[in-house]
Amino acid sequence: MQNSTTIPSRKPKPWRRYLVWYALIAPNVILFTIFGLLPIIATVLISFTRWNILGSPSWIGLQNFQRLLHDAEFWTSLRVTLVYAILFVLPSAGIALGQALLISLAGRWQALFRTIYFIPVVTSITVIAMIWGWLFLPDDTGPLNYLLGKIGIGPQSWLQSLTQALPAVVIVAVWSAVGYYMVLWLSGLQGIPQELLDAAMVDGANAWTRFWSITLPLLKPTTMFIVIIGTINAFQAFALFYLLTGGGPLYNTTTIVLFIYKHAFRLQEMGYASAASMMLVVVTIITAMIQRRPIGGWSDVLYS
Amino acid sequence: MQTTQQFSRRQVLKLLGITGTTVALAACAPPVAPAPSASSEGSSASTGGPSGKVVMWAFPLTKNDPETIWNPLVEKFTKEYPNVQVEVQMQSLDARREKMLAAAAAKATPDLAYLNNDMVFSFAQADAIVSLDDYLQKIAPELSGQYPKGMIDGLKYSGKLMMLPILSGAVCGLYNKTLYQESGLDPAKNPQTNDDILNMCVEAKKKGYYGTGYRVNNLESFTAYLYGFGGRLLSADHQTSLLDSPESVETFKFIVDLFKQEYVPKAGATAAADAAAAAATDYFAQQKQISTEYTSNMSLIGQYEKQVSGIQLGVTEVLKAKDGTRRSTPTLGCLGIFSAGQNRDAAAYWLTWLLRPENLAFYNTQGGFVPPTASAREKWEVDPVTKEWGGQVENIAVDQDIQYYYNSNITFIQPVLSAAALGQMAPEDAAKQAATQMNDYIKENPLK
Repeated sequence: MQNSTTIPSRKPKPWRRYLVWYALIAPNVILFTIFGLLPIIATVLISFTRWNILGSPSWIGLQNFQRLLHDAEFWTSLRVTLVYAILFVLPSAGIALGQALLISLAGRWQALFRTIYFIPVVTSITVIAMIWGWLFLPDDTGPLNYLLGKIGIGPQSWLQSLTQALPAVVIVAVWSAVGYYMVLWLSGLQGIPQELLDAAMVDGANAWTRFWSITLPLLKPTTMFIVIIGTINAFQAFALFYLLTGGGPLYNTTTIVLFIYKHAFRLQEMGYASAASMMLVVVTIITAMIQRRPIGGWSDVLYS
Repeated sequence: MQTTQQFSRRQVLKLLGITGTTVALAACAPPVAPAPSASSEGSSASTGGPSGKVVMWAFPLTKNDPETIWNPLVEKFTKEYPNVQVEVQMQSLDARREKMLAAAAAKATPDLAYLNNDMVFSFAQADAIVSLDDYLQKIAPELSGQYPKGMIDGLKYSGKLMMLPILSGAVCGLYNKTLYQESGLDPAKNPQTNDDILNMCVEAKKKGYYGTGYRVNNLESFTAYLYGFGGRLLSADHQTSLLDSPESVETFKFIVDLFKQEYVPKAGATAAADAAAAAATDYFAQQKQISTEYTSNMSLIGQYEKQVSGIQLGVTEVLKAKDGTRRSTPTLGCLGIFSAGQNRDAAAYWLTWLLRPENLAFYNTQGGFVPPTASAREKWEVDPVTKEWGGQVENIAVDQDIQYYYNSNITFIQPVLSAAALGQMAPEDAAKQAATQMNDYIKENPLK
């Protein structure tokens, strides 16, 4: 009797339970696989071949990597990229934070200033390069040299100088990127509870103490995001260098992506370029891991 | 109740599945076929003539190529071949080479396209383009005979003709006759040799002008002076770079001297991309520079005539070497048929039709280049300056320098020449380093 009245419990099979979820994420997974994962796998495979794009690739094992290790231009481009990343990330993040703090005090003018500072972000990189290429003209006709002449400083070589070319491109890159990072900082600042700042003020903390002890620690997730994204952007730097200096003078502004582009499309050495891409991936991962240590993790800051 | 819930979920899943499958099948399906015509696409047998749709990629020569060039030509062709629908797709000039390579690698090519002569080897070696020999024999056997032999020989791979030129151009320059005369030079006598160029620069500087222009990323300018010194880029067997030959070293020194003496604008010593550099430092348009750099870009004639009112232009011809010969790297805009093309037969009819003398003349008259055949040049209607520049195509040479590794040369010349021009490297060392890198490249990428 007992047996006849017991209804056997039907446990839903796990795959059925998740089927709808899988169906919902499927479009994204498919697109990521086609446009993200497969090219990465292809790049790994191509890096072990000699391939000129048009013919059939021939397997050469680790030869491309061995050649990279002995290629002085590759090491120069790696050094240039790392120096550029440092020169780009720290000032652009710092200036953007300063801008964000000032704008957060701007009251009803906030939207106007935010728009003004964001304009370079939405300006075409070619236009930016043309304008700054003109500003940096090396002779007396260059506007910057003209202004320097007015205060008694002789014309500078800017983009044609071994020592000034990289800093000059950094100036342009920082100028064009701070607006984006400023918006990120602003959203981070708006997420900080006002009560904490008010309480500190009641306790007698001055503006600097409030910034150093409350605002900055609570901006840790934003800092982490900006530094890592900024570094990745710096490692991928291409267009400004291509347009302003072409990698010169004497490889002094040849970034690693410029190096990859040159070998892939100018010299049609896809295998070699893919090997360099793999090295870039390794360097980027190592750098991101190193950066995590001093800044901390994503989730160790609780707002409430 | 539980059953109803399960059934409902199943229904949802079924719906999702059916929708997904339908979308996937729709995406994978071939494009909708055009309305049936007299014969099936690609077939020419049933009606005795070509039929179907032909897709061609072209690159802009004017501000509005479809209106000025292609619509009239397609209309005229369609009258003769009513069963063929030609679609000319304009492509951007930016990163043209990269796009063509990527399209050919992916077999995502049209039926035919405008290609350059230096692409013959890599495209033919990879079977990306087909031989034109059979088509020519069938459709227009007289056509290839109209071209200069040297031109045709350079467009062959394994003895088979792979492309035919639709336009040509020699590497020359323009000079401002007024500034030239003002500098004490005879405007009727244009510069003929490297020494003449140097003399022009010396005289120009005395008057406060730049003599000429030079950008270190311009291979055409480099070869113009190299040939002027009687040098070559590559040995006849394509195995050795000659960038460290005495003639090449002389060329490096000559160019470095142009920068050192401020005969050319300093901005050209940096290898910035064309647009940024050209816009800011076009001293020729500002009438502060007597002659332009050497280039195959004949559209400069129209550009400067519009930009600078009343300018009197002359042509700086292909430079003469000490032995009296003149050589110019060629600009040959060619047409080639892709092996992945869907309608190659009809494409061949369109190609051979375009290369008829009257159509070549029209195309080049509108586009501002030079018809590659003498018969077409007779019908070519252009201004005297363009005609003068066009006459220089007799000096173009298609040989080992431009057939295989031509474009790779500038990749190695540019950084070291830039360094030398900026005084950071001796010209001799620059030449030697460029040659070493080029030879390493040849070793890494041997000809098959």
